[in-house]
Amino acid sequence: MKKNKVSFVFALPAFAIYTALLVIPIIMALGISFFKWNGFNEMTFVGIDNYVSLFQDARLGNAVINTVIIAGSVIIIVNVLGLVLAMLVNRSSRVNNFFRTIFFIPFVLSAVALSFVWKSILSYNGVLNGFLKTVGLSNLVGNWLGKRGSALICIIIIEIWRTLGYHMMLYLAALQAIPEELYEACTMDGGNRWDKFRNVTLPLIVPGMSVSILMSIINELRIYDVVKIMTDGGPGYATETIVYNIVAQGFSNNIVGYSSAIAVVLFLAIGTLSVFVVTQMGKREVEM
Amino acid sequence: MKRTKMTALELSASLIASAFSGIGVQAETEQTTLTFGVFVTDNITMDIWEAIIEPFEEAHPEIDVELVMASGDDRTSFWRTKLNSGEFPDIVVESDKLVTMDIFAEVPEDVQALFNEDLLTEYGGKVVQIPASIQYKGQCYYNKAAFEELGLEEPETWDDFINICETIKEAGLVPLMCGGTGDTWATGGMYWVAEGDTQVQNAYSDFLEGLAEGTYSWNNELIQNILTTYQEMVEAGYYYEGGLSLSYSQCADAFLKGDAVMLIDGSWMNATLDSAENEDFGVFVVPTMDGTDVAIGNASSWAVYKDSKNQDAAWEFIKYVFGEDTTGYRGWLESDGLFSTTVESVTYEMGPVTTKFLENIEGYTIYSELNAIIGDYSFPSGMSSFMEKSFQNIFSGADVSDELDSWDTEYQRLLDAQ
Repeated sequence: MKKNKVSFVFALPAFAIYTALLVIPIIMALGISFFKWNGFNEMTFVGIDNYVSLFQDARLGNAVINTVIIAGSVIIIVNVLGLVLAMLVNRSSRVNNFFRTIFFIPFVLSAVALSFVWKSILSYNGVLNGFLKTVGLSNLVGNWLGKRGSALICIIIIEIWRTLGYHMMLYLAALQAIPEELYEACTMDGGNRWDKFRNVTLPLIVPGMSVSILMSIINELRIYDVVKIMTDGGPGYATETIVYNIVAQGFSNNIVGYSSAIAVVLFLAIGTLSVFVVTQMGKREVEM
Repeated sequence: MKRTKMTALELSASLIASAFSGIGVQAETEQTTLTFGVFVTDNITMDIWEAIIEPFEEAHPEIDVELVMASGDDRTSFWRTKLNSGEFPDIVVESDKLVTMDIFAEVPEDVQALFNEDLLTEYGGKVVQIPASIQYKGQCYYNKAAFEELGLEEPETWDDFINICETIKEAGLVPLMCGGTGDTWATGGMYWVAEGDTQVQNAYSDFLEGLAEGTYSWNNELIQNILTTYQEMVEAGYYYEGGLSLSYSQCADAFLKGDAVMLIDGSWMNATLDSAENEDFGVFVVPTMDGTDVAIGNASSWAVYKDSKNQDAAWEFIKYVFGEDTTGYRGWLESDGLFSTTVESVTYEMGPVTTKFLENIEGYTIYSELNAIIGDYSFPSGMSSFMEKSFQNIFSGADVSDELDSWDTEYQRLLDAQ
């Protein structure tokens, strides 16, 4: 009983901060989503009108498609490549430590600063096109950020490059928790590299994998900063994402109630997807 | 002894008096900190704002003016964020796009008297903004050397303008520069100012009222023609291929370096060229397709926040800047090619480009941009940025009629939602 009280006291500050900065704003957003409000003047109750409008908004539909394309591509690639890289740098050595650091650096740097750097590289008058012209490959010069398809691909590539190191670290932690004896047992049973990966590595990294997939889903469905700086959602609406749309509706269009409704739906979507991933991955977990 | 007593009494009295006077002085000199919401550009630097503030602070030592800098390209959104977080400054420049939120204090009559009466606008039956400056937009800057080499002259008609574009293109050069990323207005915004804002207002004097009441729509023959022509110009290769991936600064630099021969822009380019004593570029009015002599000039406004606790100090500041010592005001106007709005006109020594710019529109009818008209039928918030994105869609090949349908839908949606 006394132990419970001590635990509660220790957890209280974190709980208070979490409630003030996350739970209360979510509840407020839910409340605001039932009102017509410009963020300053009087609020008018409109029931579920804002939620009905979501399904008639072509611009939001486009943002959802863009977000799904970006998130889908990034989630698959960072998890596959993250695992491959983690396996490559798994053994402790100076070279591997060096590469671990190199891969992780983009994640610890500010996404905003990185986006400005990438923008200066990829803009039409930027470093990449300058380099291509210098080495006589002018035919490869492209309007990377100024065309619909290539702008979205650029965002995906930058997001993969930025977050890959983080997912590599998650897989690395999972790989390092696997006892060496299990691989030795597999060798004794005549297993080759593929057998070891399929029968030892893969089942035992499922907890790490579920964290990695979950984090990539949460991060990519909320993508905003890279898009805002690299393309500002453009050209036109070609790279606009759901969160970009939420900000635009709330702070550019002054429709805070509607913007909150989109945010609530996104929150529920991420929550549902997270529960689904955790449940499904949990079924595949193996106890050591 | 008596003398000593007297001295002691005098000392005590003077001490008490000085103590009280100290309290008095402390009360009188209680500092007021006035927050002043501004933005900086390549032309309007921090030094320009400080030159406005410093003389005022010297004249009013009891008031400190603190600059609040808008960050990002969407300054209106920035100020809304400040508003929602309870940190809105006491005075804000570029108040025009916030006025429909009914957040500004009524301008006192003695402050109104400083400005040209014609430029004072009302919102909700009150004057709540001061017209701080006028900025003209939509003229075309051109590279004189390229024009001379190709034997080109400034155009008189729209057909002349298109012929110039074609000649430049045939010579292997890029006729027109534009921007895009981060500064969406720099894609089609200036073309729209030169051709759209002018011709639409020529054709429909009550266009915004008609839109609000449903008697007019964006998707009409005139606007279709204006935007189809724009798209044809893009498809004909008249615009710089990589424009959409450039910010405005990059696009202006590329133009000045010679990557394109012409740039449709605003009068801030006058200041850039004149301050650098750059005489390599000329300027002409883009002829309207309907042949009328119309130009666009917007009054840019400042306003005082109605919930500000420092309103008296704010009006004092405005009276000082626009009436008592206009040195800082003059510097601000000159830095960005702006023009005075005060009853006692504030002028500065104009360079050749600014002089030519003003000569070009002598005798012209001047309209505001549609999105800068203040009143009961003002543009809804967010419509301008929607249109700017739509220009990018049209630039990228979207169907013009579909885009204009989306303008109508969005305009009504924003009106209803706000």
